[in-house]
Amino acid sequence: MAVQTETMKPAASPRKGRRAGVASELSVLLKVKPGREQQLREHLNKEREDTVQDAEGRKILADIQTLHEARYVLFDDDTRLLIATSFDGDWDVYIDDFFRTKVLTYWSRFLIHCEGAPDDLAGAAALSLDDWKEFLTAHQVTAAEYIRTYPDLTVKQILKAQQVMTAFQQLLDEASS
Amino acid sequence: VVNNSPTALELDDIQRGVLHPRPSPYVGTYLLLRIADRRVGRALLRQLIPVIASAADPMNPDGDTWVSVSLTFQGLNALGVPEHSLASFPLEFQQGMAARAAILGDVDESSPVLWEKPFGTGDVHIAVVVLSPDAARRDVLLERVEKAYPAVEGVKVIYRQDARVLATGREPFGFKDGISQPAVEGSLIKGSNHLEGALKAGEFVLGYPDEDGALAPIPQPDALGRNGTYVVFRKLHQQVAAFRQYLRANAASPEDQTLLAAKMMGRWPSGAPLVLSPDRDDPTLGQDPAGNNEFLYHVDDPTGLRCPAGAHARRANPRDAFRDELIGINRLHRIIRRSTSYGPPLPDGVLDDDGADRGIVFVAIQAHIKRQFEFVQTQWVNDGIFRGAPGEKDPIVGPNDGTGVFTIPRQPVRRRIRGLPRFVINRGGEYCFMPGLRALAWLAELDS
Repeated sequence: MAVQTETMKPAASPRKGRRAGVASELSVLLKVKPGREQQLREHLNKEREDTVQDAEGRKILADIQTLHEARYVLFDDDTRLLIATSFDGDWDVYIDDFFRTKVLTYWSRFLIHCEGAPDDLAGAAALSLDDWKEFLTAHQVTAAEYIRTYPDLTVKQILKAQQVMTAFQQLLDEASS
Repeated sequence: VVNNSPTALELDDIQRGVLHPRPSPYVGTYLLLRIADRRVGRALLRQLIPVIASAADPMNPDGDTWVSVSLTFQGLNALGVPEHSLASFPLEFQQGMAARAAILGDVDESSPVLWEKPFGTGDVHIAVVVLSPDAARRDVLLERVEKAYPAVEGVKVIYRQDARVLATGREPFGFKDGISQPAVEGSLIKGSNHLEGALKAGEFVLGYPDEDGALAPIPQPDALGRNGTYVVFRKLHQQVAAFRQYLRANAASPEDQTLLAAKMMGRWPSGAPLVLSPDRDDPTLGQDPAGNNEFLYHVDDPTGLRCPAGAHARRANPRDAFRDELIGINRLHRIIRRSTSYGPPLPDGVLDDDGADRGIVFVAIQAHIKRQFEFVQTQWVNDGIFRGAPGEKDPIVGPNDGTGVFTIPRQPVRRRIRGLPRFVINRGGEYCFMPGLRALAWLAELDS
């Protein structure tokens, strides 16, 4: 006999991300707060264009070492936001780890412009981990289809392969010079 | 609510088995009971409560002996716990271990359809554990427990498993175990590794701040949930002959067999860790409780040249291995292990299976089954994605199928063994809730 109630925390909720080989997808669909569309787009543009911020964002995601990529898509005249990532293993299982990372702070800078999130950074900082989990999992949707060209490779394997290839090319360069 | 202030643990309300390491040597008995009549079940609890030691009771001068009592979800239901209270327990506990078999890798020979009865049938309601340094004192305690069973129908012992330390002092594969004991804030018990800080009490006892810095939701009402914890029981049959045959087939010499087994385990037979003694066993170190767990992985052995990243001990508790990564936070995924050996040892040198049932009763204690036991089992033991080796599972306890692979870093060229079968089979298990002593009284006084 299993009883599911509204008080059940999302850590106990069924897995939502679709799996492809070793990775699973996380897709979160959010509504932008009316009147905050321009702020959100400017924030994301700045993240992209400011080399310091861009490097900081990339480093935070790279340090996870199991996140393949992340993209933030504004659509419907900037009234909606899609966050889409690929993650080695199961997002659902790693959710407690993930929410203690800097990613949450990094994301909260633009999530404050989305419905259901606090209005400012102070409010975002005061939100409990459980509330953040609830917020994102409540807006998570399962991909109808999720396909990867290299389903069996993890981020760590790809980075290592890149290192090995670099060293191998160097060897060839030295052998042929 | 973030709360980092230390909170005094109510040791007199917490069952002793939650925080105290098992005696060593030890003799133990596991009893599983079924409740047919809730009133009789409550009467049984009333009788048992005085026999259960709390974490505040002073230890006997001549050794530690105690009784622990825990209940499955069906057991709480059988006692008449109200529906809204049952619904406040986490989903994985409500479902039970058998329902989570596919997630846990309990498939093929470990599948619940092959489990010993009554595991996974829904008939297991109460688990009573009696632990003692010797059989004489165990029997005295067991007699007191047996007096608690009413003579009338209504509660029945449906399973008994005895366990005891083998004469070698080691588990059936031949390794000293039960070495690692995490330090728990406020427990007054020393941890086995001073290089690791104490864990928040809320990782192991409900109602206290945990490593998330907050009070996790606990089963309701508080009178039931507070000072409780969750206990995972698994009767793990060990295929000792198959393990020895595999070592012989994959090693060049008897010395190499010992090395290979140690690389797979992460420790030498004496318990000496590979990180501190990489080339040979060191029995003095293995027996030294102040030294045999005093190491880290990232700091002492980042590349795994001493202890492979895929070794059993390094998987089950990677310590600081993921220090430079943002996830795989070890402090969120610790369990307290309380395992005991059962069955006769397979004599040294025997390579043929004698058909005897032997192994360990694996016991894990934690406040969050999903974030602790299930995470360790599914992500670190059964899988290799976390370290970029998705094709590799735990070489000792992983659900290998005859095609398992294990990589041993070595210079100049790594060593890789293949064709690993499953050496450990789950014969059955249960998820239990171990209430505080006042919560047991609350259960005993239910009047529905």
